[in-house]
Amino acid sequence: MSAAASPVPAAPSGSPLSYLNAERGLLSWLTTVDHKRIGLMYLVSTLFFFLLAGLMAIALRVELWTPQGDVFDPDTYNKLFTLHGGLMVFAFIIPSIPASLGNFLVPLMVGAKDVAFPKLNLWSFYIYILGALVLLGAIFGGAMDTGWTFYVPYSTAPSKAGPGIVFSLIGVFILGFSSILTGLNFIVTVHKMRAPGLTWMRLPLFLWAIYATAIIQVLATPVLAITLLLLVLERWFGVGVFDAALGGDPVLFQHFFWFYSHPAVYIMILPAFGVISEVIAVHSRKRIFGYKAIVYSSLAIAFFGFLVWGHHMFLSGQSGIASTIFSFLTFAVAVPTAIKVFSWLATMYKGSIAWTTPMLYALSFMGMFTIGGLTGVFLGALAVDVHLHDTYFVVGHFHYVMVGGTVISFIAGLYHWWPKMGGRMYSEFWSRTACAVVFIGFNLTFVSQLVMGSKGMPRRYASYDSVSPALQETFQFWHQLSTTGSMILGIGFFMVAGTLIWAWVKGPRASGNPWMGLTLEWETTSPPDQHNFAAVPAVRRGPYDYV
Amino acid sequence: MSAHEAVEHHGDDDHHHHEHRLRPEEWPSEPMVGVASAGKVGMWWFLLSDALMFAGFLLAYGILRGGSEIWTCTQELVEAGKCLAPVCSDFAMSLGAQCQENGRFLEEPALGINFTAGLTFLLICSSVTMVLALSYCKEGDRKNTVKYLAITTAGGILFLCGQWYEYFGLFGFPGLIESGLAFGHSSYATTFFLITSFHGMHVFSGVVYLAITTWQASKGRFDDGYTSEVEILGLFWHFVDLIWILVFTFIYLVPNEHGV
Repeated sequence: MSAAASPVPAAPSGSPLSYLNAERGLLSWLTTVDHKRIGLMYLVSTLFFFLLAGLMAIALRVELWTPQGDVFDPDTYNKLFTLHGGLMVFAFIIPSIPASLGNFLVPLMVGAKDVAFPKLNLWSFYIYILGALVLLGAIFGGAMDTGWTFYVPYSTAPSKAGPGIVFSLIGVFILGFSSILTGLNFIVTVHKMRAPGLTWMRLPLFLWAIYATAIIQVLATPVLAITLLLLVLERWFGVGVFDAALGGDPVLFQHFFWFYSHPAVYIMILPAFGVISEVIAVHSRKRIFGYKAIVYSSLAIAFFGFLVWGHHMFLSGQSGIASTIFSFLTFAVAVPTAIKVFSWLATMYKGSIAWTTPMLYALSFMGMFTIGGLTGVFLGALAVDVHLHDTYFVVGHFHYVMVGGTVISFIAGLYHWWPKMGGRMYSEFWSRTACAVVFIGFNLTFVSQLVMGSKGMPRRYASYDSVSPALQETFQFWHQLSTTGSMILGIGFFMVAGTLIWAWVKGPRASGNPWMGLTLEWETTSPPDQHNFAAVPAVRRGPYDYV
Repeated sequence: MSAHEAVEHHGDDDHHHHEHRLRPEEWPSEPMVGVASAGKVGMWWFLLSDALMFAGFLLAYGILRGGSEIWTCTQELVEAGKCLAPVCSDFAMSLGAQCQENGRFLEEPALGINFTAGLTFLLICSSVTMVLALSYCKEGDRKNTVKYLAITTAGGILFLCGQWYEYFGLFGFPGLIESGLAFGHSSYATTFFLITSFHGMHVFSGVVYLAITTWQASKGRFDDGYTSEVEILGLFWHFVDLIWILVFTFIYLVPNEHGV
């Protein structure tokens, strides 16, 4: 938080009064109910956990450079990948776009002064901080070694992990409430706070995406909450809900967990779709193709997302008929997703495309997310999944969607709205360079994982020296490629951070509307006034009616 | 495009620093936005979220119960050697539980339907008084609003007392814990305590919420005709009531085919 706050007083004298300097001092930040400041505080905190969990990923990749388990003992390795996954999913990706960009942009885009419940908004930030710290603090209780999915019986077996597992579960439980409250706030804001003339069908697509996300946050997260609660009770009291030895049902845990966690991947990717819709329309200067199709496909994804959880359990003793139905429903999700990708492509067709950094990220998103989505179809196919289940193919697929999809579009959104947030422009040359480094590093890291996974390399193994020498050599080749890629990717992310920090502190001043966007956030100053708009804005056209 | 013309753009200097935050419904009206207050929309979505929590609990209960060989460990089943009665905990013994010489209860008790049916009726009545309170509030009748809000609060408190009696017993009558329903001993006991206490926490929150609103009403907060906050409280209270009817049906009324 202070990292975001400190550059502000350093701004040269005569800088216009904005939300950044209207009130001064650390306390004015910590007690603020301004959605823009809360958005920035979320940004800094989520990126801190991204950094932390990213460094853990590098450590994991280093371990896999050689087939032997030589850097970490298997126990530490298990704890590392678990913490990497847990922090990335619950403390970074889920809150990333909605809580930072969403908090900053939702009231601006609807033309309001703030979200519907500003104090609740600050509460959800502190609940987030508490949850993330408890999750991280589990290290001191022996951490957790179950994988981020907390599967029973790993999580119920009397393990060496001590209280670490319970700490982690409680941390995620708390984080869930932050997510619910943020989602609730956004839903009500979109329902009730729209400026005159901003009808549902004039909403920017980013708002539609956040709205669809919020519905999932509000409806799916409570199920995770009770699942984790039951798991904690199972560990403490042996209540016999999930533990088969006590008459419980371990598959019930998987059902409950994925009832939340599959919709949760749409919590992670839908906001990314929103960012990409904005970036592509604005930087192609063209009316978005298929506005309504994109809107309804967002809602369709939110709806179908609730009906596909069983595809995580093809090999968990689920009945054949259930698996078949889940498999077909999974394919059904590909339809609205493809509608979006084709709409973006058609938007770019004959547009005046500006090759700005946000646009470059949007383009890399389209390629990488498509790979992520299509590999998902492989995994949704029953027979193929038997072969690929629990291999690096799954890891590759997941990272193509989460990093190639969400993180890349998060960065696209940061560059796109950075002039609005900080009032200053980034260096186009260095930002494009960083984009290229990220693109190369990312693909090197995760294409290798897709390949080695299809060759049979299982996930979550600290060593792979027990297979035949020929296979060992193959695996090692791809692992080394992947590790090299992860280093490049890491450098790329640091370059991104460098360009953004430089822009915030030293970049040239940006105008109120550097991209000539038509949505409401561009109608106010950069950075916006504390109260967003001098007068209530009126909307008389669609969000992408370029002439 | 001229993205990089970093033009310093000073906006209008007449920034209005509004001291008074508008209530969302005072925002310029828009036909598509509707008339429900932000708080009401928020409460509805919160209740949906909360409903999914109960749905999860009840589903877990249904799956565990449907998949179990023996759900309630009755005395006949204990004597037939089909299951072991719960271990007498120190806590239960301090309540005066009747234990066998082997340190176990005689059986797992069945749930008393009649008494809890009375509690259910009480909760439904408190929903009626809640409706009356809101209706008087809308008429601007402060005295009757406070009266019926207070009666509703009392209904909630009585329900909690009933639940206390059911768990721990009162006036020498044994509670379920004393009779052998031991949390953690069986899925039957665990799900019973989890779900009913989770609901009980909702009733408790509702009682606190009701008490605060009653106090506010007595101070004349709703005399200006802005009654949305009472209506929102009503939504929550009716929801807690509705959930109880589901809990009562599934936990108490569904007959025990395996056990008896």
